[in-house]
Amino acid sequence: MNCRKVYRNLSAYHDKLLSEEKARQLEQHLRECPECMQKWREFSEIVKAAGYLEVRKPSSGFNQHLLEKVSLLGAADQESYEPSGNKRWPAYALVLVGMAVAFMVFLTFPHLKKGESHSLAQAPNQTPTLYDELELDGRTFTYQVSEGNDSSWRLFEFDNADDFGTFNPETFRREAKVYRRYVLPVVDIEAGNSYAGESYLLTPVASSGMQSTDVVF
Amino acid sequence: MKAKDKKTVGLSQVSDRELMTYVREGNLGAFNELAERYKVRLYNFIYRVLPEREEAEDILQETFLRAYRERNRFDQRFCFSTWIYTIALNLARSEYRRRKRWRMVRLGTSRNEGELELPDPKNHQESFMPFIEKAIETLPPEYREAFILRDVNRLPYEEIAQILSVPVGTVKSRINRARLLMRQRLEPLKESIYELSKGLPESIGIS
Repeated sequence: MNCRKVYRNLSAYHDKLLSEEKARQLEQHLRECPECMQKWREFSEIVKAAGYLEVRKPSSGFNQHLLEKVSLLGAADQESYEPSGNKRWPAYALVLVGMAVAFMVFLTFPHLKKGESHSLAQAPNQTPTLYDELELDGRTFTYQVSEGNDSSWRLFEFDNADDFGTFNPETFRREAKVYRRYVLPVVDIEAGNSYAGESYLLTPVASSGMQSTDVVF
Repeated sequence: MKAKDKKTVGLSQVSDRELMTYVREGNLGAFNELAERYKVRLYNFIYRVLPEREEAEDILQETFLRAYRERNRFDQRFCFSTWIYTIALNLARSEYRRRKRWRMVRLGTSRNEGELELPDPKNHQESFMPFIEKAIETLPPEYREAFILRDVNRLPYEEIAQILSVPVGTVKSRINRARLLMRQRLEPLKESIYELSKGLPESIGIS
């Protein structure tokens, strides 16, 4: 078992979900690789400690306040929530509504075409928001953007969770005002999806002479 | 009235599902008992999953109110715990999606740092915990949810899969990545980590 495979299986090992054979191989690797061994020790310490975080409590009047609210809801409200099959919309109506909505969305955002259909494009002039994660081709990339006034936006961190490799942040640091991101929603690659070979854009918007950068994974 | 009182007497021994049956009949005592059972664990979940913690109590209240309003929709074949967690999760999600505001949380890794001091070696457990809290805050939402449900609230994988409506395999990979990210975020505090859980027994989580 190599280091990469060990990382992938650390949780399963921790939670005793690995087969005997696999667990044995993993332990073998840990004995031979001090780096992984250290990571494993830190890993398990952190997991254990997370179970001991301070127990926060809602305020002491919580139940009373809640019950007062519930009493106010009263019986009038109950009626509308009575289970009743025939009050429900038939399935075809939902499908029709869904199609109508999809059509309207298409009219509003005609740029949502094939290959970008999952994209969350950032409209210019909007406050940029953070998209925290890309998961492509089985690798996870996390990036964070610091919040501030327009001119100080920059990419703060860009790393690869599986390899512990770090992308050179300089590559992405530029004086952009807004980043237009094309980000796929988190998809579990291990469940059989693959986005290999696709390119994803990280593009500064509304900036004269600014080059947009293709980030190709 | 008397019959209701009788029911209220032994509520602490009644199962969640049975309590829900009473709640449907309009028994507020049973509802109160459920709130009592779940408020702390849900509060701890909501509190950590939300970027804006001041709102945690409102979301908690809304969770129970919604559970009450939708009491007739609760499917008796399901676990009450899963159901109420799902409600809390959805409310918390719509809250943080609505706000879409993010704070940068620093762990003392960058050069011009200095806001956070390293944990005091004499007092590891107390001083280290805030770093764990902060590291959790820096996780992307999907990982944060999975990490909290698994390692703070200590729910089984199957239940987490139901709460998040994703396959168990997805939960496993999210939890693994979340933990790896946590380790990575806390790496600067390396030496302190080993001292962290000295003398602590295996946790059973917040319940």
